[in-house]
Amino acid sequence: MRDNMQQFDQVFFEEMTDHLEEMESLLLEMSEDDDNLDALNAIFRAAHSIKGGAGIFGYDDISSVTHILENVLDRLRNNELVLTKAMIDAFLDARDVLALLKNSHQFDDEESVPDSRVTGICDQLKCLALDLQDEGAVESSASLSEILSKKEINHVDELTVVEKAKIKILLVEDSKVNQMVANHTLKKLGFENISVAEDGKETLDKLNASLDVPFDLILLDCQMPIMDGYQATQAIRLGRAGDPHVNITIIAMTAMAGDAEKEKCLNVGMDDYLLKPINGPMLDEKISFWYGKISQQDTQGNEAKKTDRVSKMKKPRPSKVIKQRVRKNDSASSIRVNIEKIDQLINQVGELIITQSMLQQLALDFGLEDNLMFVARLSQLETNTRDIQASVMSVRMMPISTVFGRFPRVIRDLSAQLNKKIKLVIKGEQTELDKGLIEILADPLTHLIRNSIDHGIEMPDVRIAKNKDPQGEIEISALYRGDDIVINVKDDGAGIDAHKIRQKALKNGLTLPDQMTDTEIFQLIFSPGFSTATVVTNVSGRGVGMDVVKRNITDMGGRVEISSELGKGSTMSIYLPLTLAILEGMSVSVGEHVYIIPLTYIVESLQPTAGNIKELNGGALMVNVHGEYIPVLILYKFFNIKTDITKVTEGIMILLEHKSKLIALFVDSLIGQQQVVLKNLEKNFRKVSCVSGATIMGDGRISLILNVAELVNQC
Amino acid sequence: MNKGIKEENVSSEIKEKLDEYLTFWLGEEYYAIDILTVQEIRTYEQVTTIANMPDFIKGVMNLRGIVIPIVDMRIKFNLSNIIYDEMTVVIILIIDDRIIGIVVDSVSDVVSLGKKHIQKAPKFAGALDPKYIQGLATINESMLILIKIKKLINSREMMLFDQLTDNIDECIEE
Repeated sequence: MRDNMQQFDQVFFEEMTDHLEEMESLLLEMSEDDDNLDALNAIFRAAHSIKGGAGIFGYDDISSVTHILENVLDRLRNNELVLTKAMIDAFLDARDVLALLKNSHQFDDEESVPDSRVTGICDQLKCLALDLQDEGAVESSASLSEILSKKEINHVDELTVVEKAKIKILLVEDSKVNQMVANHTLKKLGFENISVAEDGKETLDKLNASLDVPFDLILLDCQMPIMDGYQATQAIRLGRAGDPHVNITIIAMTAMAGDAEKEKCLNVGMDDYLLKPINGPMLDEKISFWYGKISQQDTQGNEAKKTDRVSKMKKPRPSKVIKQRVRKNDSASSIRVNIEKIDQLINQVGELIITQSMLQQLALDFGLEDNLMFVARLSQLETNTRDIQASVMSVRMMPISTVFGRFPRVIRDLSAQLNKKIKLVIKGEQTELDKGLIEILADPLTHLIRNSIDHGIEMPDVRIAKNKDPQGEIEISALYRGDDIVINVKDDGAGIDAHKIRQKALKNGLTLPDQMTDTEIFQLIFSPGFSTATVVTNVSGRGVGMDVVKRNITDMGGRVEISSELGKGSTMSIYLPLTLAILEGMSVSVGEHVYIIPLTYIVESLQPTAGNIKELNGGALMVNVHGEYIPVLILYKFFNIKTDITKVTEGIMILLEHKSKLIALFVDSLIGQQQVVLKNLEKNFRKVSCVSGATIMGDGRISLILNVAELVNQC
Repeated sequence: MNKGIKEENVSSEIKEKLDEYLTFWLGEEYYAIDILTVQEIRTYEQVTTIANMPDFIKGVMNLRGIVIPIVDMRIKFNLSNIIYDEMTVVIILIIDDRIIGIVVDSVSDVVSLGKKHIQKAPKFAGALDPKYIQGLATINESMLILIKIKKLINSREMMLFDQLTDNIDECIEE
């Protein structure tokens, strides 16, 4: 079975990753006193879906862990067990084991998960399930085959290929993997007239939409978001899917073994019951059996069956109304796309923008700017291309919450391990940045947080002695600042002792200048092999990590800064450029060159008069703006460019601000404001001082984008 | 530019594995590079100069939306009479996924050479350090110098790429 299913297993892994993530975030929200039924149901569903998929692909270890997990969850849902902290811990642990198992299968590294880990968690879960229960409620896998053998499947005549192809089947299944597998299996058996729905609601819609040619058979998953299989069946039997479908044959597909489940299915009005993972012969037999019945029904009419069903349905059912979780169940409205396709799209849009501005340039060159019709069309084109661009760019942007989401767990585990009390505050998790950056950001950020927990936050008794709240606080925040996105990891711990760092550095044999600011000293932490932790723990303190953190972030074109106050706490700030962002820039000319200055740095521009220029003895210039003297950077001198405009009164001063430092950049003239597509110089070349990238102008030439942060530091 | 035409007298004689080389002229000297590193050959177009670069790095060029650096090998090899016109040729190379352009006097031919045609380079004081020379060969009675183009382009003296700074001291300077 595995061979021809391999084509789907990648989808299974992706789906499983999602399920595991959901499980984790739900588990972390849970607490002992808060008996959240919705959350339990959602976790159960996730475990259940994983179990189903794993069964199909023959990942027995995954399905056995999820199976036991499901048992405990099920007992919790039915109030047979009381939720304890130990359970949540065990569930989290099970989640981790599942993630490990997933990776070992996904990357064909079967050896990587020790058996002891798997059996350990299974035993733990079994104990939890057994703890308070009466005898025999934990289903052994034996009961599975028992059910199968109990099935009284009458021998039926095989259907012909033509007959099979005619049967109109509606396959209802929320998991993509199961959907694909079932579809594949059905097709292989010769059933061709298959429609697919993802939940109960869609099922009703689909049924109602095809009253002319009604469906013959529904294969219905029981555990689904929005409207589950039981509710859907009731609705169909009540005629909410139209009269032709009231008596349609409904076969449940469920991974829940047990007579109780079977009873439940038949009680709500389903006709039969298939145990997942479904296999070909079983499916074939069932459908053939029921199709035979359907044909019979057509001729004789089966009133008895119908009334029987209706009477069953009218019995008041003791089911609780379960509010469905809407938040994470909007999967139907999103699709998975290979990131390469998106990148390709982004590149092509970049080219489109360039072509568009070339056209505009041509219009000017040919003197067409008087043709109003033409100009209007051209500006329409411009608007459209910008819109496309914005939409395409937003596809790659993801909220940073996808990284932040893992930290509650990190903090919970680590603080328990170190006996520290830590509260986590997360801010700005909706801040969006490029997916590529998010992926690279995860590791360095985790390291910074571990560092804060380990070195920053003190032990509770130390904190009390210092008159601090025994519970420490770590705040992770993300915000936009100008061209950068800033991610802060702030703790209210011990702070960093600059003196100690300096001593340590000297002891490590580094030669340091005498005058160093604290900020400079803090940067020493990022040098390789540097650690001041007096006790080396397995959390941090091995002197690897911080240098890697810095390298990772520098590779992304960002930087890390540390600020700290002894005894009060420290803040580590990661500054990242929005590399993929389209830059809103001012183009300026110097001689024959055109440079782009990111608009966010520009305070104002002014034409200096001789009166407000002051030349210092060294030849440096200052310009007086609103009573304040600001250093002048003369770009043509700095870049060694030939230009006719050398007198300050002939050119333009552009005031640039970076980190509250102002300089005046002297250029020949302003050309205009425009959006530019940032191209990386380092891809084929190297870092150029005071240049942050390049862009292709309307005429096809390349202009360099100035790095204002570096320029400001030149003065 | 007889790209694709092989030197008959070379290829007919031998049956051993042959490698193809693109040959070009720089002043009076005849050079060759491994054809697998060559993406295309273009004429010299507008180049955006970059401030404070060595003179042989002419700047960056727009190659169909990609920004690539352009190096003038004529300047690197200390030739005189350097002019840029529509006859100036740029060889676009792909070296380790990076695309760069080199300016040469003229592209000559594609030749196939086996090991037996390549003579180990003797030590000599030319414009090119012998460590970048793969060997010498004779084509049409001219001496052909085979350049280890990957090594040359990646070298520190070409100043084209950032060198990895894993050194502790360099990290601390920042």
